[in-house]
Amino acid sequence: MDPITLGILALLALTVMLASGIRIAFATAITGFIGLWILRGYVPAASLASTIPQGHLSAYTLLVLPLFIMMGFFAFYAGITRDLYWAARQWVGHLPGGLAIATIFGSAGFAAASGASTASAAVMGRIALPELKKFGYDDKVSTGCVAAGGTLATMIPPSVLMVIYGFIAEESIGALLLAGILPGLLEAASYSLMLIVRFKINPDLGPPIRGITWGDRFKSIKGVWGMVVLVILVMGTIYTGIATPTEAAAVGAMGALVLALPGLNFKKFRDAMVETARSTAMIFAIVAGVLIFVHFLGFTGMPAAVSESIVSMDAHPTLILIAILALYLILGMFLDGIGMLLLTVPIILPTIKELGIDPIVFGVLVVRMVEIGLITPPVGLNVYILKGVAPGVKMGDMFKGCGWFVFVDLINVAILIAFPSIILLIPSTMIN
Amino acid sequence: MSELLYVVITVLVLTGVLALVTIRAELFLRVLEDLLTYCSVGLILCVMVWVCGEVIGRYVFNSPLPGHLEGAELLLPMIVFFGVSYVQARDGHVGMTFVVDALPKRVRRVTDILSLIVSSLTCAALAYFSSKTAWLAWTYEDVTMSPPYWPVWPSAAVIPLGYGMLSIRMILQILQKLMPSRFPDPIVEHSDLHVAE
Repeated sequence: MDPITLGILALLALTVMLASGIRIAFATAITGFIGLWILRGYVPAASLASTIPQGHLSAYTLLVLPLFIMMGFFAFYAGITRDLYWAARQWVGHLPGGLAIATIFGSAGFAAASGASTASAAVMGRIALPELKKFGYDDKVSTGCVAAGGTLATMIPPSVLMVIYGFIAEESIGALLLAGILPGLLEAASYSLMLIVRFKINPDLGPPIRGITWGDRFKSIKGVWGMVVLVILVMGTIYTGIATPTEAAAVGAMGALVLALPGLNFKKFRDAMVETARSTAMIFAIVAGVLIFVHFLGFTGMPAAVSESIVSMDAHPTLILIAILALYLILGMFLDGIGMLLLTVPIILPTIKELGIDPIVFGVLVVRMVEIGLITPPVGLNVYILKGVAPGVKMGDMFKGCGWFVFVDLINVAILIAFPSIILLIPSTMIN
Repeated sequence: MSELLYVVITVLVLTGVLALVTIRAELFLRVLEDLLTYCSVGLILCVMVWVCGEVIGRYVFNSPLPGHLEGAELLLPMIVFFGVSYVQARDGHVGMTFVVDALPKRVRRVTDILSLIVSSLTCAALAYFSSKTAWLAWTYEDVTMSPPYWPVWPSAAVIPLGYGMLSIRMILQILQKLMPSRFPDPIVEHSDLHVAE
């Protein structure tokens, strides 16, 4: 059988397996193994399946994942989220839609300690939603804010998805993490701007907070300085080249543990650590399975063929990039982000490189598209998580509330495509 | 190739044995999963301290820790594979379930069992294949490239252990779907704060 036809058949078989509920980690492993068996014979297939988990998972750069995940959990247990939200409330609460904007800035602050969108939405949902409800904010806006604010966690470093993209694309993880800073801040700022305009036009959506003094504002900083120092320390050491991302993550996790210690009992510590171990096992099980599949796809020559056929269309690279990102937007509505990145990037990346698009720029854009998938129906994970926190709000209303944020996200993506220097500015000045 | 047939036969025999001792097997596996997850937790903390020690050693004492890089690398498969079965027991592995969720209850049950059978056989095969790598690392006394020359086999041996436990966990889940009355109560979650992505 022609290898490319085999590759296409394997992708179809994988889709059927995933749709029938087989977990990504196992569906990819079995499809990749059988594909290799047909293509190269039993012995090479068995040999590859036996060496991939040990050979590819023993990577120093990948250690950054459990360490960043742990840092996020300790930051949560340190009470940082509540303090960040409170500080944001004091500083921007007086603006139209102030409490909603505070939710966005609180999420942005927590994003600097946590790399996971869903965790951020869950944490912020518990803190911000009761407060928004108390002040009579519209349910759609409130849930939309929390769900969309959660997505900032994958843009603002540390970001689990950026690390996974860096690993599979073989790009500098440090550069990718730094590349997310400005797009993340742009996103937070544009969400806030959209909220100000909406609340100005329709004040019934929720009131601003009155009576906050400058004394209150400066007092609120007290609770967040430790976290600010920690984040500057982590990103600063990566930026200056003093530490690798793994080393910076270890220092960050240790720092977050120290910050969390005063409020940390044994149960909280155990929960944080078990959840870290659990998330790590879940993510790397997918990585191990997908790597078998990706090796098979490499042998079929499918990524090169896809690249060749797209490039030969002679369309403008930006147009092709937009088409690829649109595809990610659709896929993101149905697929899990980690699995989607691991499966698609090895196929698409040769095309991107052939078109002369910077892989770091592509990485940021793709991660952004994956994150939009977290707040769009039918499988918007962040919204599903919020359903557990706000059972009284209909799922449809939550998705409607996210609509404005998706619109702003798409404008942001357009801005980043037009001005990729926003993404590359910080990594290009990186030292060492 | 005939070795795959042996893997299938082993899984079938194991299913028969586990069907006879469902409650004991389930409780034993739960204890083992908890124990290994705590080992994973310990290793993550060790990595954190070790890597911090390396940074401090390098910048403060101008004395990097020998073998830290390769040693930490070898710990990652252990961190991962000690926890994979624990994750499966809590249905924590990521999948695309919205199609299956829309199916009628009875059809869904059949689909779940079939997908567990495929996954269990996959994991059993991966356990077998990776055990060969671990065995080679043991017999050839494979070590890392630089001093203090860490042995590779413990890291390699954890992978078949993890996949093997995963396969057994899935067999138990199949049996639980077939005869739920012969199983203890489902596992209660400690925390509802999970990181997906």
